[in-house]
Amino acid sequence: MNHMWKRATALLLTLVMAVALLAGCSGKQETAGGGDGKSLKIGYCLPLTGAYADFGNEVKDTTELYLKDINYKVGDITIVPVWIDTQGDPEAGTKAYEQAVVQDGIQMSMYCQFSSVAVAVMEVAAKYGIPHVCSTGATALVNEKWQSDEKYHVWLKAYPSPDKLSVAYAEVINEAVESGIWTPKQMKYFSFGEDTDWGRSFSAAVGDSFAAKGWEVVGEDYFKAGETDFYAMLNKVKASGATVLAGNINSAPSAAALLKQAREVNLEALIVVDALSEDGRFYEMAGAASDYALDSRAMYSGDEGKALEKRLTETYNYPSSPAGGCFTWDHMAWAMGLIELVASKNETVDSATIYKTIQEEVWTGKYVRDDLYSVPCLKYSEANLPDPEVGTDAFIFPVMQFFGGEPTVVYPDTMKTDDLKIPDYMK
Amino acid sequence: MNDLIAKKNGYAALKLGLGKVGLSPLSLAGFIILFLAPFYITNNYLLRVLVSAVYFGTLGMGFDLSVGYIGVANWGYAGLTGLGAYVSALLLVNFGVSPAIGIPVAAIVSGLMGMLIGLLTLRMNPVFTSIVAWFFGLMLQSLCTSLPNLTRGSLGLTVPQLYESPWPKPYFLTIVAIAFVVYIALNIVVNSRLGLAFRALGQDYEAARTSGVYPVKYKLLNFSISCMIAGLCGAFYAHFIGIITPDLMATKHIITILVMTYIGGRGSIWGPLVASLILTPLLESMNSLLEFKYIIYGLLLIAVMIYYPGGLAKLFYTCVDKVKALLAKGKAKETATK
Repeated sequence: MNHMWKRATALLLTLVMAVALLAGCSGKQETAGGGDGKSLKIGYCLPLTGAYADFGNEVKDTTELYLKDINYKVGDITIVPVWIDTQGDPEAGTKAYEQAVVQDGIQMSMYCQFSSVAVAVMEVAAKYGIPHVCSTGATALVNEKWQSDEKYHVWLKAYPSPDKLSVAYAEVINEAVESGIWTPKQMKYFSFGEDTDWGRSFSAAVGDSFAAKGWEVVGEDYFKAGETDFYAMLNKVKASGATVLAGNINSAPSAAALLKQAREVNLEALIVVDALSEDGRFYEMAGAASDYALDSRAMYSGDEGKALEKRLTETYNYPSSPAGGCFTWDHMAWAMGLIELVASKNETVDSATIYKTIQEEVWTGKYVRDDLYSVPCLKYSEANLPDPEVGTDAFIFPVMQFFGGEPTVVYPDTMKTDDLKIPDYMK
Repeated sequence: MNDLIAKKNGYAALKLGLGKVGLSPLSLAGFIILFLAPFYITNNYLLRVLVSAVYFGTLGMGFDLSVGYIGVANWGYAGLTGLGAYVSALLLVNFGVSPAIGIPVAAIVSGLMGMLIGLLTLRMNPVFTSIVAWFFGLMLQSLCTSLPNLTRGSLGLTVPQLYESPWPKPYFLTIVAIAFVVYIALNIVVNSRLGLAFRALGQDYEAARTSGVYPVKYKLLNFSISCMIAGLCGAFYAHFIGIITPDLMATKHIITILVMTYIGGRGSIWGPLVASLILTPLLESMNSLLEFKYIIYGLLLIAVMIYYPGGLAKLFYTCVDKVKALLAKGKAKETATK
């Protein structure tokens, strides 16, 4: 009996291995870059497994819903999605991307969370000449690589670098000081952030923008993603006399812990928690401690935006975040519009014609989308490549202040719904 | 006596000759097939997967030296791999030192770090050694994270690649050459008196000590060589992927190496390499299954641990013994008939 079990298990294992190997290594030919013109395979680089799978799968859901809405068609071209699981890791990401190019024959790719993954994947995209758009790995590291060699110009970012995006906080707080809404006891600033590529870049950039406005930077602190004990840092902030505490936290429990503990230690500082509203459940966790907190994010704006949020939430049974929801939706709208443009200008739609159109229409600022939910307009110019243009009429996330979990937009003026409010204990 | 037999038999002579340089006819054939892979595998994706497979297999061979011979599972192994990566990368980025020098230097630095860890921990029970080595790995990771001016921390350090060519062929040949050298070196070590001492310490610590084997000296040597291999592979990785972050030192990366070593068979040296060459493409082929592939992976690991705790190496030796027994039986029958 024992022998029978052993044999059966060995046979089963051999079968599993053989089937999987055959499935993986079956005679698919290298088809990089060339399409049949009537179908277009697009690779979506996302962390679908591992620690960041929640976000990756949310983006996947939104992308799928968008594709279903257009019936997987742009004109007479059928869009075939290929899901590339980067696992949020450069090594796994490059392997998965190369598999998508060589075995699945993708002709274009999108997204790519995390700059370290983006930088590694850029190498493979450049090698095969696959145009990649809407990359969400966005720190200066990606720009450095892009500028280092022309071959990396196939890459286009969805986000501007943190230094371009972070100025809004200093602008809105400084405006409040200049207009007399707030007279801080001291112009002192303390920055914090998750110890990630984005966290460090962003927090350093916010610090620089405050320093440029005459604020004294009195300290900075970084912690591992997911940290929930901030008492030591908050006491440091208190001792430094900082009146503004600003930084980036991507984990909602972590952000909630920071806000609650800041109240507990009676911190008299205006708190900026960039990415606070990335998770729709932040108010459930932070409660009233999130009142007066500032965040700058994509948001579901207008009735159509709210309707999209409701639809995504109801379809997938979890609260749709602006980054995974409307921002992703906008990326899809931009990319599908690009394909439509490629099709109108060329007989075939493949890597070469897509890249040519990007150079001729996107880089030059001719292809512009201003019908988006998350930003006023998505456009590029040769001076800022590979970043999108930043500005109140281009890429900007509004600065929001929260009360009872609801946002009021305090910046920019074109989107503003109310002035910045200062809590009584800080006046 | 062996020489006499060898003279009579060509295969035995080849075996004896290769044995002196840490090889066997089978392993030599295996490496020749591997070296020639870029000439018969034209699929670049598959070649990239094989680079990963040989990379993890080589790391596994180094890991096996500690876990398979002196019974110490080095949980700080990923930290030492990362250390090698950072040393070679920083030497090139900051001082323009060529990877041809940087990679061996990285291996030496990791070996020295391993020696330091060993000096502090190897007197302890292997379980405590593993835990302390793990803490060292975490410490190295934190150090890299907290020195952004030097390492760029979590921002990631962009590393110039080893070759101008973006295609995997030269990288594949390089990592196979590294694996070949590591395999030969490790076999020479384990087949020498050193290997005997390692085995003795791993099997019965007290008995080995009573027989005159000085534990700390041999364990330290073993541990340092193992860590040196981690540094060597890490340095290659940095110049292959082109970007490194402290995440490279995270504990999760040890799991892959551990799995390759256990499935391959502890104490075999070649086992982890073969396991990696089978499992890495297997896992890749299941990419479309997303999280389910890890369930299949886990089940496979459980099944191997239950039914074949000796791993592929044990399976191979069992098969060889059976074939030999069958041949002997046939021969005996033939003689009896005559």
